[in-house]
Amino acid sequence: MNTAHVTLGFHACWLGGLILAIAAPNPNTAGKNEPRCFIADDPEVRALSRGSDSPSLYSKEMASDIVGAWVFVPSLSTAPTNAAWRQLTFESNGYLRVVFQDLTTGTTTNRTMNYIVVHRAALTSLPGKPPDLLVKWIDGNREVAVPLFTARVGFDERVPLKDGKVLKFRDIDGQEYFFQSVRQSYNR
Amino acid sequence: MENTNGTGSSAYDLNTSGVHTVYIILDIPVAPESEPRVDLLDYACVWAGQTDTKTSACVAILSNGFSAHYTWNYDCHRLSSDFVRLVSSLGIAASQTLWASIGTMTSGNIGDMCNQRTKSFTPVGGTNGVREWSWHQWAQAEGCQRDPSASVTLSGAWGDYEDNLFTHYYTCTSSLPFGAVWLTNNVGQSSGCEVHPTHCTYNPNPTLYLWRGPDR
Repeated sequence: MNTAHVTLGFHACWLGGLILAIAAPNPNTAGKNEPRCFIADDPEVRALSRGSDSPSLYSKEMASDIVGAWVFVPSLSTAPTNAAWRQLTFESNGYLRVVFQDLTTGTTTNRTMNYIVVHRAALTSLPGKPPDLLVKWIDGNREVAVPLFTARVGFDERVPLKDGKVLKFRDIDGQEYFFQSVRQSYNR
Repeated sequence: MENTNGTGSSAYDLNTSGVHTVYIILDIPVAPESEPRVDLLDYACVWAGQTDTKTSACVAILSNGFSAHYTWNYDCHRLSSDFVRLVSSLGIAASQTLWASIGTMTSGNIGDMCNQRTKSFTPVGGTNGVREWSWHQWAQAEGCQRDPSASVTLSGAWGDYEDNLFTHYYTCTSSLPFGAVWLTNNVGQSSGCEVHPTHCTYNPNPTLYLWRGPDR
């Protein structure tokens, strides 16, 4: 992907709106601890929001099952274990509440954003392809976005069935983020 | 086209009744797909095309379908369920097996299975390697074990596949504080952590999940 992105990462995007900086395109300068965010009107980010006309049953199942609260599981993520996204709560009305942890001080911050489920599957073509997510919020006078890919909700062989479903997605750098239902996370 | 079996809909004139698709299957569809579904038959009849036996159809579904068009992501239950739905739609009876730990990586009673380690294998859409997980679900049809997660067929009963796939089990040695060690998988399912339901779970009729479909 060749697109402008916010070099200071997700953390800085909301905690330091005034120091938001747009860099020259360079997909290799990833933020260390969180999915990279982009300017929302970037043509390639806009392109990400275009999904299928008629989502498959599986893709709709993922969109429905993602609603709920999820807590980050470092041990099953390939993302850095100190990733800053600690808890996500997807609401059915398109809001996403994120508990973000300041990695320096350890303090947590809550922020409400918007999310869009981008269906990549269609009823007649690759119905098992999971949807992507586009998370957006306003930072100062600029809308920024984080694209998240292949969002899967369901049981995972690594997690006992009695511990319930998990949420997995990948950031633009291919790092997988693994979350477990808050309702079940006490079992871990 | 005349109504060939004397039941169901009236006869249609193919010249005037629009576009028709005829699905040729091996036998009367069986549960859970005894009611024909075109979203399954569109795949099953293509992947198992050119086959004329139930056994060869099962192999073709694995190779032409799962190997070529599915990606495993620790979701064996969805792939196993899809396999059952696909072959059932062609008239092939199939069932599933769930083989699961009782304990976890951090808790359990002495002797419990707490995790499973496989031999090196290549999952569909993935790369070769050893995997560790809590549980695994696969299918059976036509006298063979069929694991869509790896596109594998093995003749024999479910226990033969268990012996084939798993090399070690993480077995609880103390509860408080929790302790466990990796022990070699013994042949059979009647000793150690493989004694079920005492130390692990064997379920010959696990949940059949909704149709997922291919992803690539």
